[in-house]
Amino acid sequence: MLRLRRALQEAPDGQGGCLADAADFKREAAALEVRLAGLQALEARCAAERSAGRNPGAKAQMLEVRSAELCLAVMEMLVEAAGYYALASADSLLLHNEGPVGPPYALPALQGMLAAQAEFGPDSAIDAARRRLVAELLG
Amino acid sequence: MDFSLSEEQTLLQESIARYMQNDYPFTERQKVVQSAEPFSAEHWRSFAELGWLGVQFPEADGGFGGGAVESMLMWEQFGKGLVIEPLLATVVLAGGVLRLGGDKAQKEALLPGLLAGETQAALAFAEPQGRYNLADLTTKAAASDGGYRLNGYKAVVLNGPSADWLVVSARNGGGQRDAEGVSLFLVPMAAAGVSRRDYPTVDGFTASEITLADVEVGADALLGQEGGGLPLLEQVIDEGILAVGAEAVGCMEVLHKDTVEYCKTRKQFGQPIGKFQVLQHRMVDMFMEYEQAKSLMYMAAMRMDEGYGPQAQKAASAFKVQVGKSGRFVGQSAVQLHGGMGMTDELNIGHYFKRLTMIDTLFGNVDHHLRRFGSL
Repeated sequence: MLRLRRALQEAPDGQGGCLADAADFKREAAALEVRLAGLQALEARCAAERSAGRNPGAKAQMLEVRSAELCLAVMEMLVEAAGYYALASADSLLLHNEGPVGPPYALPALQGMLAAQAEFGPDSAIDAARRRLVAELLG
Repeated sequence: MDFSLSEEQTLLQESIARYMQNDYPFTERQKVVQSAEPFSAEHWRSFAELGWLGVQFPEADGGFGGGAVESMLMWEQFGKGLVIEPLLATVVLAGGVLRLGGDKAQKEALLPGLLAGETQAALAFAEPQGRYNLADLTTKAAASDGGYRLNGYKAVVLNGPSADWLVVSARNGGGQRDAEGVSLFLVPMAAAGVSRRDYPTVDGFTASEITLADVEVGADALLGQEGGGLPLLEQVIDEGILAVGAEAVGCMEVLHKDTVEYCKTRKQFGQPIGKFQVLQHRMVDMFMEYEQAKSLMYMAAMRMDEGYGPQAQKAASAFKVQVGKSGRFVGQSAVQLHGGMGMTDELNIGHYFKRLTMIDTLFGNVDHHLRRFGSL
């Protein structure tokens, strides 16, 4: 999320400003921040229950499901912020001594997103297993 | 509205579909992607011989005389085959500017080589600060010795590494983002002052960062009117949207069909996973997203063939919005329904998903085209 905030401030909007000031990006970024705040609050509750010696149960698994979803959403927005530079493959890093192609905020957004999608996208095998666990814990 | 195809259109569609099925297997495509060559010279020659490079060019210029509908039919099939030959950069983009804005001498000099598959081209229109705004240009064209001197930097020039010549957008008047003052120039890649940094793209294509340092071109390098290049560029980009959008529709069709097939055969808990209601619903949603994108594809092609103007622009933006949304949904669903297998390099699913994601980025994403649609 910190990387996203920085990227939005550095990425141009094609109108002379940056994406952090563009209305739709502002709204979308704020929505992600709210989701993050929600997860932090949930995490705090889980931690409090643990320190009181209780098992947070389904809530802990829910935290993982929701974190994975949020992670993917942040990655997707990084790809959007990268614009055309999202096309540049991370392989290009290996071919040149002079450093990555494109501005630093753009790299390597897409590969990150694809990896996140494969690893813990909603309904991936891992996600399905977590959801099953939540269902079992809820009885 | 009449959605039926003419005999010629059906023949074109069927011949490409056959080629994709019989002569363009996914495993061979992957071999080319992993090789040092940017694309298959053999396939490129076949495409030229079959006349596909000239589908949208007038018969007088050695083309097929087709319009947007023919282009759409062709690209939908290319999408199914996940074609990596640089048709978009060479034929649709650079070739499109030449077709729409080139004079007789320019066409006679460049079109025969292009349509015969002997030369490659690229359109250098994007700049790092410009995002999707075609008018946001810092590349400058100054008058010089009866011609022009170009200075600037062009980002993510698709097919740059293979291109023999470029079409470059540059500003010779007006402020950095003004609609007036944009001109388009033909620049040989070998011209003094042109330097390149080449790299692969995520989906198996190639691109370059191009620097123009005191590049001298003659007055005959100007394409279309001096300072009036923006409308021409917009039209070519909208034709590019129709092409990659139709390609995306082809990708979505493959993803949907493959996913349905996979869910019929993959078993869990003693029955095919396609029997689970939650997965059935997801596949129905995939189908609806695909059909919705396909409908707007037909609409955009027909509007463009009626004549280029605000209606065609709106239709192109509406199509691009739907392609972005549908492509994401269909791509993600296909990957997820295939489980962990979805993103592995051996399976084609992940490659279609990558291409769909890249198509969303090309020529403006969903947000950009929602704004454009609203402002037209």
